Amino acid sequence: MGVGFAQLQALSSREQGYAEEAAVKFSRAKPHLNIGTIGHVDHGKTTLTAAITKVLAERGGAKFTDYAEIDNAPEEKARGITINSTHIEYESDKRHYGHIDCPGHADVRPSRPCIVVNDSHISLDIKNMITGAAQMDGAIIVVSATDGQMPQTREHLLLARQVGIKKLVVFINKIDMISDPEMLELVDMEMRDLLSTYNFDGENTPIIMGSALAALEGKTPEIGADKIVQLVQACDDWLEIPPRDLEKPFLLPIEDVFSISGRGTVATGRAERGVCHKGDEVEILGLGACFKSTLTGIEAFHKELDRGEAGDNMGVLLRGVKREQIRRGQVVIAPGSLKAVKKFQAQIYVLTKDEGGRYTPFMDNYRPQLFMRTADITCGMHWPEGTPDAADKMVMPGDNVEMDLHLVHDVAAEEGTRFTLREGGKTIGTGIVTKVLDLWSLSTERKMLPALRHASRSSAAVLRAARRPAPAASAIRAMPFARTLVTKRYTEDHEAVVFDDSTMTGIVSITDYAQSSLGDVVFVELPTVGTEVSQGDWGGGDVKAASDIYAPISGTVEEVNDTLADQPGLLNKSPEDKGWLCKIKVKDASELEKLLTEDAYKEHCESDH
Amino acid sequence: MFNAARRALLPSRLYSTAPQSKPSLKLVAELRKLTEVSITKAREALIATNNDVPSALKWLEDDRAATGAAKAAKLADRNAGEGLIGVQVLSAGAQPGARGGVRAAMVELNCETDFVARNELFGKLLAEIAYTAAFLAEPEQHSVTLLKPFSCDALSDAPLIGHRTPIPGHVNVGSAVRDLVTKVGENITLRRAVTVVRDPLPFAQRHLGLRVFPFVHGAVHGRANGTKAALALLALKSHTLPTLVASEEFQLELAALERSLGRQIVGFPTTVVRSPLGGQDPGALYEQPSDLFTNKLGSTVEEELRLWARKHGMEIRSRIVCCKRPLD
Repeated sequence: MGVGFAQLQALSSREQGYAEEAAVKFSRAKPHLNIGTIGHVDHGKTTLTAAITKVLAERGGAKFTDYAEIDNAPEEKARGITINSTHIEYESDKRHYGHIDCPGHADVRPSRPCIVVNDSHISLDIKNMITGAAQMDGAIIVVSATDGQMPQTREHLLLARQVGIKKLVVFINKIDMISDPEMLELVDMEMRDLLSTYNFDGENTPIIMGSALAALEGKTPEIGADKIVQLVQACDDWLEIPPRDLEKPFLLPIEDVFSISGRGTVATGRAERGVCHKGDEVEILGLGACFKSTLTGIEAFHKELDRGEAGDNMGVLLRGVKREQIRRGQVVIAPGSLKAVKKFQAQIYVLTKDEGGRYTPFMDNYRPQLFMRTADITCGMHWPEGTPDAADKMVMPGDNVEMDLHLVHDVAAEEGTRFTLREGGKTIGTGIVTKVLDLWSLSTERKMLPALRHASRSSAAVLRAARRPAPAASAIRAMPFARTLVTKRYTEDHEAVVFDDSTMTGIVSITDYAQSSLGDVVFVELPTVGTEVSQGDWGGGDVKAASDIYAPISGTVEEVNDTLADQPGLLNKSPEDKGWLCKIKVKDASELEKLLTEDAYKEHCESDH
Repeated sequence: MFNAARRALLPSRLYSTAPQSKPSLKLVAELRKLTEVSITKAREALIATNNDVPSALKWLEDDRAATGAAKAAKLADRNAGEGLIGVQVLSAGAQPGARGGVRAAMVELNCETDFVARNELFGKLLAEIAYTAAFLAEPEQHSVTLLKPFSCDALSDAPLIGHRTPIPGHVNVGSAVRDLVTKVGENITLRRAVTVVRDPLPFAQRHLGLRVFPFVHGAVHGRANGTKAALALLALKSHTLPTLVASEEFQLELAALERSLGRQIVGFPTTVVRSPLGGQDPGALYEQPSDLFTNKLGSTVEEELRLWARKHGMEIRSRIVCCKRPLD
């Protein structure tokens, strides 16, 4: 145990260099924004893209990329997934832009265009939205003045919505090709209408009218170059910069946990976002945990620091937290900045076999492993409620689907959190959370299980609530090891005690009501053999009854079911196989009378809901 | 500036009868809502017809015949690699109260981008073309193959038959496709079509029955169009077939079997029903593991069919299976 805090940190920071690189990336002088051009094949997206680079190149803000270069984007493989890519970036006075020209020319896989910006692959494509490292933050929609919007402009806007673009700038192109300038007003009006229909701000969206070709050819600047300048200005003013990682609330996914004698418990990992300071209050969330602590120490780069930030591999020392209370897969966050989730809707791309994914389709209730940050949780995949023919629908490799994921354990997640799905060690899909369906929270749990009232204050939550309807409380089944049973009684707090009068022993377990309505047990703290407990005691202080289980009866703890310490999951089994918690040598058998009978317990459970 | 312009459009200029040298925005917008033609074209139509919307509609129709082909020809060499498959079953075969004939078609229509494929106009046209193919196909009484390709040229020349609403005027499939080309500005091509048609079997063969069924994966607008689809035919043989077919329970189980088979055909790379004698074809349906069957009984598709047939005291055979998807 002589390993110091610093050494432990070194053990866990396998990617030290990586963190430093990330730090360089954040020091970019101008704020960065990923944008793209969308619109019909013939409306001049690529010409516009080329024109922007040309006009800005003249002001030193870009490298001129001509039409042919943009149009012949090579196909690249990013994370094993094939996408088209081209590198275009430019700078205005205020910002640095990464630009995507999509969807491209008819010859180049039309609906799968993409470019690479600062090594992150992005495109206006659901597949790349799901898999891509970067999100498109805004877009320029290009409409030809001669045609006006096309029937498929609706689909362009729908997709823009779907990939999370909140604001657009409209460029009405080819205005030199029309005879009646009044028609521009119609294009303008129709676009504003359509934008509003698809929940964009139709009223205030900037609409610039010009000719990309004129700008590219350096002719008539009043409809060419000047308009490009105006367009970039509109992008600067209207499109919003997404908050950068450092500006977001602190999040450290726990990769590993160590306990250091004399100091306490350290969680290590690579901070995903935000900044933390020594002394900050934090929350530990996920896998059944939800409690607060204080950062009493931060360490990164082999040094004790007062401050850590996104990208750092760090270890944090947590005040008053025991080694067993935290584990890999949980997160350390700024309090309240994330919620634990057990059920969510997600947009998922299922990898093809060429991408290393499955060879065959799967159906409803397929159960892969969900990997989210450092958490690894089994989940069931289901069609969203109300999907017609849900039982008959299948998902094929290569599909983009929106499905509900039901997790076996809760995990800290929000809209936009990415994850991968694996089966037998290979990645079969990748996804992004689109909607949280069911928050897991201790407050709901507390309402459901009075015995857990202390759990939120205590460090580890033992029982986790699942929102299942309360089943009729059935009698606890006779346990094989009890010989002559005189009494089976229940506490209001859902412990059952089976009293064997020949030995004066009470065998404590949790009722099958608690079992079926409260969800999986993930952690059990058992009492120590020999401790004296009194009726109603709850684990804490010197009395170590199972930490969130009340002692239903007074006496001396005689025997503890040790296997539960390693396999708390045994408690999740059906009532017949369910393990007992401990045996108590009962001091006063009359205490049993204070407990509920089966009928009274049943009534109690029902009245509780 | 545009706010002002929009105000200017208010009622004072919103009449459609008085002659104007140039069409009002309102009328162009109205015409576009009705036809989804380009602004330039809508304007041209109004100028030519002196701002009379009904005659402008007529003008557009004539113009479509005149210039639509030219426009389509201009785009014809562009790669149409996206699209959808539409399946229409007019008569499914062995059903209670039906005489047992089968009539169905599957059509692949291609375009340049997924956006157009997902547009309602495209989906509607595809459904109508598939319906037309199913409607017009000639029964094959003596041929061994019940599944017959429908020539795309012949289909293009055929009148378009609406499956929900009748198509106004006499539009043929080819001109309807060209019309859509002018609206969306993309190359659209009829890639292939296939039909299954068989007249009801004579009474003497009442122990035999046919069932044709579709399976659509990745359905877009409704359930008849999708990114992948299959049309398959089952042959049923039982001495009690008429009784079985009349039974509701049997119909439900048959429908479930069809869905399982459909998933299997589309989900696995299926090309034939069974391997040739002595050979091994990885695309053979019968040899596939029956992973996509609900209520799985056996381990291969052949076994599933055998067990299912035995359960119902009959012989069953999938005579023809066809699986199609874009870009293969």
